[in-house]
Amino acid sequence: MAKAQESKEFSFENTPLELALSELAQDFQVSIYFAPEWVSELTLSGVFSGEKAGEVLLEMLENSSLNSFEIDPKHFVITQNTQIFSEVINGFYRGAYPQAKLKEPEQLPKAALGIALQTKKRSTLLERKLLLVGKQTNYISVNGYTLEGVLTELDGKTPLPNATILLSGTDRFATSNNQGRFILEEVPFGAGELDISLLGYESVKQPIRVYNNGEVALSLAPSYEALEEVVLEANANRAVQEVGNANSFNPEETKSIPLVLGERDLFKVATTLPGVSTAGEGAAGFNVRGGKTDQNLILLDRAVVYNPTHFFGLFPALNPFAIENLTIYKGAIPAQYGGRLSSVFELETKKPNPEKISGQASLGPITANLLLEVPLQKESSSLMVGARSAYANWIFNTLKQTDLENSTAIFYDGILKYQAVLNEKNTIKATAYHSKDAFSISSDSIYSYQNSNLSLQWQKQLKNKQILNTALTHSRYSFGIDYSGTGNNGFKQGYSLTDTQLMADSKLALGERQQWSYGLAVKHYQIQPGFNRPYGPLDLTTEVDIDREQAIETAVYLSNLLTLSEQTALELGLRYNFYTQIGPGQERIYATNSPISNGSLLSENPIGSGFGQVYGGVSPRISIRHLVRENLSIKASYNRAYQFIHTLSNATTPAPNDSWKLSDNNIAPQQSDQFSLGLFSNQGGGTYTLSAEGFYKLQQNLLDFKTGASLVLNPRVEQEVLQGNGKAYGLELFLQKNRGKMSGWLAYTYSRSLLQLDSEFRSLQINNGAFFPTNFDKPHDLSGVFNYQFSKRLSFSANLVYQTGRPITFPVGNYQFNGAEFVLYSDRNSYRIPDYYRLDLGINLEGNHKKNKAFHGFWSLSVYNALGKNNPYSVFFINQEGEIKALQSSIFAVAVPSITYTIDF
Amino acid sequence: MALFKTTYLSLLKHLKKMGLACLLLFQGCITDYEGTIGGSSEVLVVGGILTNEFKKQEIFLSRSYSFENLGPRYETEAQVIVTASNGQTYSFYETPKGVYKSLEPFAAQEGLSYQLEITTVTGDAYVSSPMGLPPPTTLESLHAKATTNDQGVSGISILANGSGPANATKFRYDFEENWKIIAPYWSPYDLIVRSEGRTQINLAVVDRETEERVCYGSARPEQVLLTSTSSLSRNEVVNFPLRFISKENYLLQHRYSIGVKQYGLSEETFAYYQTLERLSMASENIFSEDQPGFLQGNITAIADPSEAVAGFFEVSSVSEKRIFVNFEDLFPGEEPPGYIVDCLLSAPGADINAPVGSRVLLNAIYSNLVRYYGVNRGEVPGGSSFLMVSANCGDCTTLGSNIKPNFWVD
Repeated sequence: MAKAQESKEFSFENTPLELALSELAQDFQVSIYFAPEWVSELTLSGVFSGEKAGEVLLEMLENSSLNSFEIDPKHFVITQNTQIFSEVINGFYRGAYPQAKLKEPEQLPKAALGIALQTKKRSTLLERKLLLVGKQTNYISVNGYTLEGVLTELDGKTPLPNATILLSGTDRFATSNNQGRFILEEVPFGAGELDISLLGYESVKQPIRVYNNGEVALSLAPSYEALEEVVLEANANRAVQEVGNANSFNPEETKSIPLVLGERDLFKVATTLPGVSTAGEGAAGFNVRGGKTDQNLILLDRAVVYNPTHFFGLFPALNPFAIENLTIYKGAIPAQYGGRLSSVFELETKKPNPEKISGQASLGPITANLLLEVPLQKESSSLMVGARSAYANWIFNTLKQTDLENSTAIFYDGILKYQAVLNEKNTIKATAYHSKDAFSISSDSIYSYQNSNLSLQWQKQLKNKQILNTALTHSRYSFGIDYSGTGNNGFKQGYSLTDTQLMADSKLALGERQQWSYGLAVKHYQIQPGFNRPYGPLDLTTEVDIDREQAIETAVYLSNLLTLSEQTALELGLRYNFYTQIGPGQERIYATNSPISNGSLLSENPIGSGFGQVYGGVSPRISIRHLVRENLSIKASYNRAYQFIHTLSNATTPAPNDSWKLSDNNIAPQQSDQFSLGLFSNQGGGTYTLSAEGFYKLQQNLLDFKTGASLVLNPRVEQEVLQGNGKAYGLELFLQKNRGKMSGWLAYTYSRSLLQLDSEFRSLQINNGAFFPTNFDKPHDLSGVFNYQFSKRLSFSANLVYQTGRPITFPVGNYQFNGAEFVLYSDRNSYRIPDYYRLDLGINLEGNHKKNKAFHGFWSLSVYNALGKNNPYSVFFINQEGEIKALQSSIFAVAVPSITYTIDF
Repeated sequence: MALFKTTYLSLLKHLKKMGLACLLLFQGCITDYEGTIGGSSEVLVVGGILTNEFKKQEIFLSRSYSFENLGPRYETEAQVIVTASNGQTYSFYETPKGVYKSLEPFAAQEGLSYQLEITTVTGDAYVSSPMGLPPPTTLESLHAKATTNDQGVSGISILANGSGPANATKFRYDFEENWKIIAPYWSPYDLIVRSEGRTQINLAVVDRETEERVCYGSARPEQVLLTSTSSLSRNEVVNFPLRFISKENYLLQHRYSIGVKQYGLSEETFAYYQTLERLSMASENIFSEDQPGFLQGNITAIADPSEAVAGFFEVSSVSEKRIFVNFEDLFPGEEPPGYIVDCLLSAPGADINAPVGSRVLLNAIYSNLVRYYGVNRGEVPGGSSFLMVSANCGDCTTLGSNIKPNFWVD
């Protein structure tokens, strides 16, 4: 030891730091103390030399966030971020700072790691270790520091976008981007806390201690343990701070909500939101804020889905395993979306796991479902394949009803997604989706309907951080009936609709206060409104082929999210819609002084290959948010929308065979103007979210039909159409508990939805031209979703729904006319069916949470309609031995239990 | 044709209601409605067709009625007049069953429009919109043809051919069909119960007093028969199917007749009937959920235009014809259809030892289930001596009227 000091040289090439340190320790015969997890991920390259161990150590740690402290020449302590000072710096962090006054080397690590110890102590409290940011220097920046970070899954690799990272106690927050990266600025020196939340993941409060500009790597655990926390909003603060008001959630969070026959259904969850309801169980579609079911834009990876349900609306037609996220806009609809009046349901499919083969599978009483994610090229391209099918014919085989013995029903859907990162600047995604339902009630007829979608998306990063999104989508919806017949009367009837759309969108931030979005979309529609053909060569069915309809819908939009002050932000959007019918086709001109009928038809002109009727309109989209307090905001919005495609249905509830019709010279586009005003708040540090929002909506040219209209295979359907004004208004109250053993939400809506069908001609009036309630006017609507977590593995959930019964037109008597007896009906919708209520219960049992097991299992047991309430779906009348009798039909008149097993792997 | 009308929609709904519902219930999915239904107000119902026939024109006035009632209350003591656009006024007088007849016979004329004015006994006034007479059309011919229908059933079709000027393209058909019925087990005698006591029964075989062997059945169409020629190049109705009768139908057993009226309708009248037809189809199918509603005709209450008034004041041209059909003319050499039911002979006992009210024969006579056919000479072994037959085999008045229609030609 008395030997003269000689310079030692160490050369490393990607050597783990731990190894390098032990080499150093060995060579210099010194002890170096450190926590292995600080160095485990670090490697060292380069040549380091020096006479003393301390010198070399200092050199080696120079580019890391680690500091070294020499206790004595033989003992060194490495600290993370923290610098250990031999004496207290004046004015620095009072009190808690440990000084190196410990003598016994053995105790040194413990003592020297005072902060780490403290962290540990806190970590048991918060289940989160303290994170130290930046290397400590002798200065403190008064402007605070920049904290950059990356948020990933527990694997440390899969980035988690869209998470909210809030600096607690401030209004500063960041949202992680697609790479999981985020930047928080002006983060003050010293202790702080990051409040991180993301749907489907455990919300965490991450204590930090900031010493300098620095980078942190954070990871979140999927909320397996927090399944009860059916969190609608990524973050309570988001609801308060966002300028618009979108609801967004993912299937994972909905998995503990009680199911209908074991099928997980995002849409069913959507109907528990205020302002969203359905006409009844088994009715396709949703009514959003008093709007018709055809006024919702349902997008799957940006392609329109015309019928998102199986089996008349009882089950979702979209595989829940394939969906990453569902976002619902019902009030302040961004300028990016258009073409439908009431809402946007935007579904995004998952990014297939590019790391390893993984997937999910489930087995329920109705369907089997399997979804696989397969990496193709490590970390850059991957594939997702999902398939789901109802057990063929199971449904009707359980029936004892003799007239349905020959009935069969099947449905299935499949999804395929490819995603590839071509290079740093280009990402492409391709999604293909198909769903089909087929059923027959007798051996000679088959009814079917199907959706087919294709979407191609290309994301390109331009200069100055702009991202250009381009998408090409194609959707097709068709339905038909094949009837083989008993004699020579067999026929095939059908309908089909295709739309093809090209879109380009981009965003540009100008300074800190302006964020511009702009884009363009061109859509081509083609509709085959109906055909009827002989089933076989011997059938004498008359061929009917109604003229095809075609149109082009174009839209450009521009919107600017303006931060006016710390409290106030404004989003100003403008969307211009341009619609033109294109040929070949026919344009019918009717006399204006009498009701549209064959009698008033003046001429029928060919459109040729040029443009037919043209419509245009400007849709302003304005929303404003003002933060009254950090946790309380007031928001207002105004929205205008146009809709050029409409469903034709004179039934009281929507059905899969409602065909879509394009606007033409006789059927004007629908228009809607909506005003909304709301208060959004969170309380208890984000434990509770509360909101109250009112809306008022005026609609024009809503489509309805003459009493007794005939729409199937009608080549002049405009003669059956009535167009009128709609008026809807309501107040939506929402209370959500986001955390804790008990969680869930309660939504109450009071709303009205009214329609006016007036005309100068008496025969075109309904209810004498006065406003009357629509078929889906349900003034009181209460929904509750509750969850109670007994243990990490066992949770209980309940679902409560109460709604005013929907309006109905009743037969009120008979009358004699021309020697025959006819039924006299009341005015349209002047009665209501009884109120609807339902309670569902569920128990969810998780498999154990051991790491590294092959798969994770999940049992869910639910009882739908646990009270066995016989809620009428419709009321109708039969003539039983000369006596008119009122009967009701219901979809679920008894409690329906089911059990489903799901695995994740 | 019928199948085409059973649209995809209603079949879907059928499945939805029956299949879906029952599947998920595994028990009664259709139950009695538990809610309340509002009572009906009595709405004025106006009927009647002013035609181009020179006759006493008729208007029918009644009220709608609730389901518990079997028929309407007729509107009495109303003042009914029809005003023509040339200033001519026709007054109507009341006859039984809500029928109001014009004081003088008259025919609706082309080029004029007519308005119906009604003042009820309570002083409420109603007026129709002015209705013009469409150009007269002609029912050219009516014929019966042996055919096989869509379902592969062999039988006869009654077909109509009509024509009209180019501007009269809407047609409605109405018919009354009649057929001869001969009770196959008719006997000239009746068995009657003179008295029934605890220990004594007095039965008598007497002459039948009314005609019960030969009767005439009649029926009207079950649906509104409408056709339009507006999409055709010539204004001709060719072989419009009015009625299909299966070869097995007893209507064809002896002799069948159908009298058809062809009405030429205005556009407005045609549209009204179309809706009426669709609405009544909807009410026939209990599974249909097509949006029903009140069907407003062309009558308005003057004091309150929003008051509901059912029915329609129709001004139409009419042309009529009648044909007779014999089975052997269409299916020569083939066996005509049998009687409407299989006839069963029985010989129930008078059961003198049974208590009053439990005697099978007597009870059957009281409730008109059987008629006397003759003496049981072993046709019904072990039975009593009274050979009885079910009422509709021994008495044709159970199926039709014993009054021969005045147009009937044998």
